[in-house]
Amino acid sequence: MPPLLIDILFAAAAIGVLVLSLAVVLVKNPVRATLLLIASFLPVALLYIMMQAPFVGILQILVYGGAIMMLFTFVIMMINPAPKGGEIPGEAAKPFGPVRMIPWLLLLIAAGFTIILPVYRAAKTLAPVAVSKPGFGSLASLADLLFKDPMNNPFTVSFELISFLILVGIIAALNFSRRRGATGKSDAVV
Amino acid sequence: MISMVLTLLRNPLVLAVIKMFVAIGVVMSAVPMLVWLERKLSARFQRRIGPNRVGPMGLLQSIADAIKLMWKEDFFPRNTDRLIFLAAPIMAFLPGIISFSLIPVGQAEGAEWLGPNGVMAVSYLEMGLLVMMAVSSLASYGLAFGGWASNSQYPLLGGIRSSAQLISYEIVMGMAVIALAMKSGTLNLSEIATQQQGWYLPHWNLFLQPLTFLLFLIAAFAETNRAPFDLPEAEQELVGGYHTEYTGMRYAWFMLGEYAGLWTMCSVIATLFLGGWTLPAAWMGWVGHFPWFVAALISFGIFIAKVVALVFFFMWVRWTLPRFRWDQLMKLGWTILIPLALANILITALLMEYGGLYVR
Repeated sequence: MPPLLIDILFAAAAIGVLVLSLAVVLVKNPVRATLLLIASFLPVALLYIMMQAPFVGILQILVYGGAIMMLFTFVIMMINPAPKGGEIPGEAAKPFGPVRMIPWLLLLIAAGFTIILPVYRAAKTLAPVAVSKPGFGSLASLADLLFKDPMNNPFTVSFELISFLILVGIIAALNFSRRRGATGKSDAVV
Repeated sequence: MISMVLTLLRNPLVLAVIKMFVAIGVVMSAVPMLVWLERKLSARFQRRIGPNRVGPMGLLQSIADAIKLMWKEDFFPRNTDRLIFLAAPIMAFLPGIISFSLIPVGQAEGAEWLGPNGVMAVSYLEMGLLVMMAVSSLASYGLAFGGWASNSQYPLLGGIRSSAQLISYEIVMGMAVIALAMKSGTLNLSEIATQQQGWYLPHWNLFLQPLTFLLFLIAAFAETNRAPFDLPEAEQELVGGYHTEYTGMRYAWFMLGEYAGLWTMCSVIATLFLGGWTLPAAWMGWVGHFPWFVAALISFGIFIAKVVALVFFFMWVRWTLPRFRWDQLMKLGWTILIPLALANILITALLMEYGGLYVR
């Protein structure tokens, strides 16, 4: 990939991430915020792909964009906290306006320097590496890194331990959400 | 003249643009035919005749419908979120086309410039299967947000149902794909299709992985929102569900999205389980004798025939089986299919380790 193309793609993705995620916070309507959050995952995925980690980028869309945000959408629509299309009554003053925008802009610049700049450096340095080494960042190399020589591989152990942690989390969540005296009968709500 | 065109085709950028237009063209021309096929077949299943006035055998009925829908009143319900209301039909439609661009539709032997080994696809991603899952998981947002933005009770219920249904069955589909990926050793769609060619029929993943096929098929029915899983629209309970408040062209986008999704899902199943563009017997031997464009046309024809057969099966099921009740849908997904999918992964792993069935 020519360096100029990397710059252009990166600029588009970075501006997309910053603007969309700022909008998630500033927009008052929760459903719109959900939609913006889903949209902000697409440039995030692009950033991962530009850092030669396509697997993480695709999982960002598949797991977060597809599954977890669908769960968020489901819950927000079930609760339905705001009158549709309108404002929440008694809402504080609008966050926009010339003076009120200054802290948001400062936040945007700070995020740009602390998060986006290292990503840019990584994308720039990894692009020639990927050209010189075929298979760099591919699924096979990732699998090798995680599971090759499992006895002496530090990643394998931590990987398996994390999966146990998630399992424990699921069981705990199930246990907490179970009502006392529940008969096990399903109550169809929707 | 022809040589000039061929030189131009060898430019990768020109080729990519042409491929994109061809992929969009295939989906967009398939969709009206699918609508016509569905109306004809449903009529036959119910001992009616179906559309037969516009064009021969009613073939132009879909075009007449499209023209009618374009001229209908552009209606907005009161107090809606207009932006989301406008965006939702497009969000429901786009994933179908995007994921079709990942699917290899044929192989032109000897035309290396067309793609690796002459395989015809828009993109040859190493993780094509994963990207396909990621894109198709975004399709239900159109339904969910469209139902919410309609500011009406039935569409809201339809939207909520669609999101809950997708969460449940996306897991089943993902786990089914894990078993298939373990067996295939790759996520590249054209490699998965090529692995299934051979001299005898059981090379197909349909026979090597019957449980995976069943799980994937059921999840595919749920993801395309077709009966017996059409709870988000459920005419009898929800008056059309998520698209109740939509009229005219915006309603048409939802319909286009549904049929584009059906077409793409059938193409995926044909690629993963029915060997894609390959034929089980005596395929590789004689096709090499043809010029590349004849081979391309034959393999493309085989692929389309498989997809249309699957579409027929989907329609057959839709007009035969009654709809699930909501709790039955959830119970089937969480208490039967997900444990079955987990067991399927275990069985596949055992077969690979000890069975010697899937020797690569």
